[in-house]
Amino acid sequence: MSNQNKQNGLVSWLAHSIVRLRWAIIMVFIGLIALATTFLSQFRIDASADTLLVKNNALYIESQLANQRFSPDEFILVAYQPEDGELFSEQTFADIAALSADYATLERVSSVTSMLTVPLLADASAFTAGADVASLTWQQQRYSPAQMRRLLTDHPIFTDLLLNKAQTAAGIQIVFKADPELTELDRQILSIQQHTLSRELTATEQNELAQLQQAADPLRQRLMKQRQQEIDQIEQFNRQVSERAATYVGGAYVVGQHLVDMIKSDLTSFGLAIALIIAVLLLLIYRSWRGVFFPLLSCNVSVLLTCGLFGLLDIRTTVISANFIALQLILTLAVMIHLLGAYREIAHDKPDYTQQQRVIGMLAQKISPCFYATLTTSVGFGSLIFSGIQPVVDFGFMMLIAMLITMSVSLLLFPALLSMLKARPESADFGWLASALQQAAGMVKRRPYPVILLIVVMFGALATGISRLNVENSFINYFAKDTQVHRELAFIDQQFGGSTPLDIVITLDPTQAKPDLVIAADQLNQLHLAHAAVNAFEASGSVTSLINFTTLARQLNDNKPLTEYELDTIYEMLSSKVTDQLVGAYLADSPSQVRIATRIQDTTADLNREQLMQQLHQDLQTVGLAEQDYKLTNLFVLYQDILSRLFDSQVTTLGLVYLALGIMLLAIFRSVKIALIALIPNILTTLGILGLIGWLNIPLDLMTITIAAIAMGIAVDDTIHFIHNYLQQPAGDALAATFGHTGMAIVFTSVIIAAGFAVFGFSDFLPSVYFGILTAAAMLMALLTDLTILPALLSRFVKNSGQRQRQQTAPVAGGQS
Amino acid sequence: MTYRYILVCLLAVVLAGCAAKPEPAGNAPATDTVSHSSKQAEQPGAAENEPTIAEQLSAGQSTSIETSQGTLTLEPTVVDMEPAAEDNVTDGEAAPLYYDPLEGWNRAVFRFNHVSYTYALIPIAKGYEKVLPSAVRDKVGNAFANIREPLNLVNNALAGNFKGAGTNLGRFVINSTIGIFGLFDPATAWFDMAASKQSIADTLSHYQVGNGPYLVLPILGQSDVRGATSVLGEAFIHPLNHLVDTPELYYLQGVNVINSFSDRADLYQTLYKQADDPYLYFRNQHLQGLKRDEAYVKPE
Repeated sequence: MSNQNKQNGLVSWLAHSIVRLRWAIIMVFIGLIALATTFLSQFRIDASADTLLVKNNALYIESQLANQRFSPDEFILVAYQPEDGELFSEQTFADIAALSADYATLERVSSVTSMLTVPLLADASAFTAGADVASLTWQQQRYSPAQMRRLLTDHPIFTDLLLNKAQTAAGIQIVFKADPELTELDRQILSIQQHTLSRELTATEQNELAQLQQAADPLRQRLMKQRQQEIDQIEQFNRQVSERAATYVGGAYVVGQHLVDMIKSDLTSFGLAIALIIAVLLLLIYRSWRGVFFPLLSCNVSVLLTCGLFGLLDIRTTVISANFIALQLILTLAVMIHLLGAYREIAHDKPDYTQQQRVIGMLAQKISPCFYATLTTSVGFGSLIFSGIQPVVDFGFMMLIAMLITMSVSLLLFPALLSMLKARPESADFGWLASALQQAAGMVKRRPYPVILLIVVMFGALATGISRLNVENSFINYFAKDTQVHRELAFIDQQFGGSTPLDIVITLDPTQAKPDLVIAADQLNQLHLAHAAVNAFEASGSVTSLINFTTLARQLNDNKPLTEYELDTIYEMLSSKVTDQLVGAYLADSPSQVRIATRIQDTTADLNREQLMQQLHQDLQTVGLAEQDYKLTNLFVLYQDILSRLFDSQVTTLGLVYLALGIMLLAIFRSVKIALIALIPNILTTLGILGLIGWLNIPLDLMTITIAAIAMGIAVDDTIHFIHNYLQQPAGDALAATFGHTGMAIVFTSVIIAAGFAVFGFSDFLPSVYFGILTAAAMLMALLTDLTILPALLSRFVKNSGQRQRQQTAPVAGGQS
Repeated sequence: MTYRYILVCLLAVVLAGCAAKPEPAGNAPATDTVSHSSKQAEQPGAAENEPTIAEQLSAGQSTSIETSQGTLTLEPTVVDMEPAAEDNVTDGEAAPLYYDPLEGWNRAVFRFNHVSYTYALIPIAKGYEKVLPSAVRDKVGNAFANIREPLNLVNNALAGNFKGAGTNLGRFVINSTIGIFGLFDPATAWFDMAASKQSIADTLSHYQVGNGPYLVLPILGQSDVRGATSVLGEAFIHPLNHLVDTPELYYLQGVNVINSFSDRADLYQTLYKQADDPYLYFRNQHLQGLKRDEAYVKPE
């Protein structure tokens, strides 16, 4: 009892202090806002596909090393699809030539390759004629359309790259120069990072690494901007042929750029839309401007402070964390509504109170549940830090910071502002809602067990969808099917050899090497087997390695294979510049390694990526490679690695949330029974939402795995408010009083949060859509459980303070009577 | 002219020797891996030391293998033509993979050739290249190829390839007339009649005559006994002999050698420089190519 009193004393002291120091608080926040505004310009979005990867693991560094070794060129692929369906025509050639000339004017472009610029050989005579190979291009020979068709049909190198198999579209490959300065920095960074494969970095190394990263960063930023401009210009160039042909722009980082665009526009448009919706809902609920203005002001201050702090700390928002603005708006608002609800009730009940008294009363009532509620939400986000997936970890960390800011703004600034206002009579309204809530209270009280049973069965049925959860996912599927981006990427994916790069780097058996030969027949044939094994997969798009060249050579050589010495002769015959260009990306020296580059077709129906990786390993070993002879690298592997961890990560984060919230609830209510009762509706909600994801066949991805933990963090707020209020109610019909008192605020917050999240349903970025809709659904589910199973359990198993007091005094009274 | 007949008789004897050399059975392990005209062993029967699939491909065999995605069938694109069943090779000991009993002689000639190329032929070829633009050099090449056509015809006919022989006749008639003495090649360009070259060596090969030991010829370079026979034989019955007399004949043959060499002068130098043992490089290249050509007889 004394403990309770001490706590009450602390709360009322806090409440009084906040009101007394209102001026100081406001001044401090004005200072902070000014500070935040100056750092706002440093706040950055980094939505490159790179940010979706886990960077400090061995797979990533190995991929980077392989990339450095073979240094494939950065390129954009433009597909040109003539509308009359005739690919081999003078018109097509003229258009491609004109477009290529335009692309070549871009500053960073090093070359533009198309079917017009590559040498096309009809037979092996070109090999012996040596120097003339380079002149056998359309540009110099002006082959007729019919000749072009003959030369290019089923070309072992250019099919899937410069024209599609169906011969309906031509590919133009725009190759970009690398920035030598950045390449050098990246090389140095990697040379330090690769030590992490075997040991921890020393302090000096970490220092050096940080310095290098800092030096590289502005260069990367500039590169991003430049790429953006290039894509815009390329699209502009393409417009000139739009009457005759459809054009599609694709390539590894084009996806990344589209993501940035989409996220930037989402960030502003959805931030605004959500603010607007919140304003409208507030106006509907409170029917007064001050009820709209002050909560909105506080929300915006929270966001501003957070962005400023992120700018100061150079924390960058990624694809995953880009929603933090909307999230923070919504969560700050939820706190406001609980505060305002209490304020209005006090104003209604005690119309003669001064404004300060009202605010003190409000704080005394709500400061601890609001504090606990924001704390539990923080725990929900905080659990993401332990997900083990870097982008999700960053997101959790960012939201943790955002929640702390939200807490201080809503518990310090908001009451300080509120206490400056003049007291006005507030009207409590929504009689229909109040009576509906009372009916619910009556129902729960009369029939607790059927209610509990019904809810458990409902959510249990929903939760069975968990077994249907899958992790199949790809960048292309991040974009809604009816968007231009999706169409373009899907076209390139299907017609021009796939999207997500997968490399197989094979270390050649040195015992098979022969003196004087760049590669021996046995080595090459081992590569050939691996190449064929990779190519056999339905999902592998274009597969490129030395084998494409030797296959072409065999075709040209009257369908007779070359001898290993002839192959070497051809290699020696070409100048080192040409060989670098042709095969540099597929062959490396000391140790002798060859690379098979493929792109996985993400639009392949029923693609099971995990199975593909397993079978690929198995097949590569079947064709004679030992496990240590080859490595799978590049984006596909990295991404698959993340996907494979999603399930585990989901289980870890949820487990952590349950545990952390359980402990917190125990600390708040100091009763195992109440803590368990508080957990039940929330566990039901999270299982229900996971089941829903399963039933809707939505793949788990970096964003959807955060939903359950976040939903629980938010939903538990309502639980805390409800239980807190229930325990404080005087004897009598405590349940009905709690429904009337807190039920209204719970309905309001849930509806507002759900409506706010539902706005994301209009995004073109599917992870955002799922995130929004599912979190909204989670909020409504939480509302349902908080108003049914929670009160049923409370009324059956927990006595409120009034009852407890009566019980304690009853024996005394009995003795007296 | 009698010396010609003596030489022809001599050649016949040498060839008989080649042909009489016992042929290794198709699937038996061959000690001299320059297995004469042997079709590559289809099924290496050895259980031990079984060649890997890659080695089978290298030996020039099409293979198939089961993977999770079904059966993959592969045609080799690059071969070394070493027999896949290597159970004859005792571990560690270098077996004579390339049959070269005349190595001492060959190396001497190879050195001689290198000196002649470096100090005579290549400078001449370079000068020739400077004087004549590549278009003209092409025409010269065409003309020599055209004069050869009757020889191709005879060889194709002897090998029973009458379609090839017909092509030779057609090409000769068209190119000699419309093509202005063979300077141009309208037969290929307009009539779609691809060249069908056939030398005495090809014909001999058709009749299962082995190529005999590796032999480096002065100036002409890597060859073998069968090839040498072919070169010498053709020198006598080449149509050019009947068109011009000595010494113009020798000039023309010199031009032919230089013309065909000029394209390859740079390549020769590059390859010579990059190889540790240029003799082995050129020898192995020649022998592998030979075996490959035998295994992949032109579709007729």
